[in-house]
Amino acid sequence: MVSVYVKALVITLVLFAGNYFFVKYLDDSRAQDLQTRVSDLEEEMQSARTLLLYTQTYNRSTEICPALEETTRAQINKLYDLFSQLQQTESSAVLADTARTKRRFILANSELWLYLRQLESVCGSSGITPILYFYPDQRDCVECRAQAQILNSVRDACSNVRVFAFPTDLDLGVVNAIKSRYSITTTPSIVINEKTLAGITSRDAILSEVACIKN
Amino acid sequence: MIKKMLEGLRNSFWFSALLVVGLFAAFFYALFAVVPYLAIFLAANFLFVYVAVVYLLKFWEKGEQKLSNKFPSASVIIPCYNSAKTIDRCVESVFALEYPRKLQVIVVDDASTDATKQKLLQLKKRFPSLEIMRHPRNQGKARSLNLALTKAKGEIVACIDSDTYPARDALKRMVRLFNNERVGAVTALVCVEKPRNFVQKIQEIEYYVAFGFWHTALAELDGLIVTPGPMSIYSAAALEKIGGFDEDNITEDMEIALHLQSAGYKIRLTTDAVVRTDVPDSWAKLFKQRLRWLRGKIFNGRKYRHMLFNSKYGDFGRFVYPVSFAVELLGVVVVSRILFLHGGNFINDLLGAVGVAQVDASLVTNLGIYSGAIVNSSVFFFLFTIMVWLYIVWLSFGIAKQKINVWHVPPMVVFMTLYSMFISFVYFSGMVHEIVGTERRWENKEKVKA
Repeated sequence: MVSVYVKALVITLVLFAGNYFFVKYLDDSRAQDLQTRVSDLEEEMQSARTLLLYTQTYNRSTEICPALEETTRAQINKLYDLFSQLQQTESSAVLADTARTKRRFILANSELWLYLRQLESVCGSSGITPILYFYPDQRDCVECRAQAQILNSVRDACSNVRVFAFPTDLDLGVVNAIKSRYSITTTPSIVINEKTLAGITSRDAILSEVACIKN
Repeated sequence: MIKKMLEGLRNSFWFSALLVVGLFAAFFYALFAVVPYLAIFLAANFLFVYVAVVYLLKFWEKGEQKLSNKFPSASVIIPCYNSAKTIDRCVESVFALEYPRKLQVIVVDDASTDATKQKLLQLKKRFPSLEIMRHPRNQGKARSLNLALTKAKGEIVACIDSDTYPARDALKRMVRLFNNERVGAVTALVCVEKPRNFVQKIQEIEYYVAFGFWHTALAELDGLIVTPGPMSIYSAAALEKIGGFDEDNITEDMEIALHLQSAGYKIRLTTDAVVRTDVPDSWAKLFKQRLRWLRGKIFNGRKYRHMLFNSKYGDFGRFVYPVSFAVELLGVVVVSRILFLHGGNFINDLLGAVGVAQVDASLVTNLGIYSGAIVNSSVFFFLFTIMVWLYIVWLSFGIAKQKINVWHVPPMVVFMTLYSMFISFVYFSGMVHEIVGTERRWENKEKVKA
């Protein structure tokens, strides 16, 4: 006769296995959703880049630039929303690896920011005031969460402001280059119009820098 | 002089408390730096569920117990200390016990300083057969019990706390479980007497679960670790063989149970016999009581370590006894991990909020800037644990023939969440007190239970 201890072990293992696969399924679904959204955005960005290349090649900036500006704004917004989703998924999905998606997100972020610079050179102005926001990925930071809240409120108030978030401690070549360019040594830090503001920056200080066009 | 000061420090609550916090932080900081939190949570959860499933299986296996038709002679011992408020009702309950034979009732007054002595003299007038013994100075519960044992004539000895009120049929039901000479003790379903405040209502549920469900399952495994102090009955022969109660023990009811197990005696339980007892009515008193229980458990764990993982003692040595320590230790680790995480977040948030306030004071009240509770998908692993717990609580109410009503819900929620943290913290404090060697003693101010 099977002892009660063995029976209990089998029951517990079955329960745990069931639980594990359920949690794994949930986590994978969330990670997959995130991955799909990043992929969609990458595809949209590729399309925009190709259009920019076409504009440059055939010098059609007058017709195409307004549309490019519009899609770029939408993409930056999407990317910033993805930033919140990424952080949420990262802290809640314990059985899914989001590191790869995170790197793709950061690269897309960097690429979009560079694309915006290119757009400005081709179209004259993008009508967008970018704010680069530097935060630590591996460390909890109340000031950074406060800074993010301030940036959210500025973005909501000003139609021309868009935020690009960069983690400073993930050792990614392109982010390191941006950090070095703007002499980022502390978090949170923000860059507005090529000006680095170290530490937490108030809403008023940001508004005084961005020439806010109210929503 | 210095030696005396050091001795004083060793026995100082605040010194111990400081040590608790210091050791707490150092030990867990080191542990959590090495072991990922998910591994700790899952290991603990697995063990909790596994143990619960073992006990549930044993609980479901429970069959009819073989009952004896004999009613041996019985002595009732009531040790008391400063029990003026409860002794009347306790003695009345004992004399109201339905038992086919005349009971010998002995009260031992352990040098009470309140009106217990006068109360006992009045009781003697009402119950002339009541035997009263008195210690000239306070000597503790175990010595009081042993003193009464020298006068006890019954084949069965019932030990009852002075703030406990057995149901009229309790003794009659319990005695029938002495169905062979290897049965050394029989325990009952201990319930809380008229829970009035929230602390007592939590304990009401705890007692149903502990003395109802867990004790039933443990008894099925011959693994009862304690013969509850409020009321347990013993075979006089078994008590004589093991030499009575350990007088240097602050949890003599646990020690005697372990001693009986060690000597090969069985301990039986009947949940049909109900005894009601007063319980601590404040968190401070509860903390002191549980600290004593847990320190007693650690102390007795050392004394009876030969039984741990020893298959000579059957399921008790192989599983029940070691697992009782493992579950509590892992409980401490899990609770510490939660406290450590949230404590760390709290300090971080507090310091961060000071910096934020300097830039924008209005943000300090924005909850978005603070660390949220850690709710991640690992909670799904705990959902099943919570369901098992709920089922056990429901079963326990059934054992006690109680219905769950809406007023039970708030204490039940606390019992299943924060109360476990409280108990784990007490356990950790108990461990530290044992390590630093603070003097073990019964607290006079504690509403004593053993």
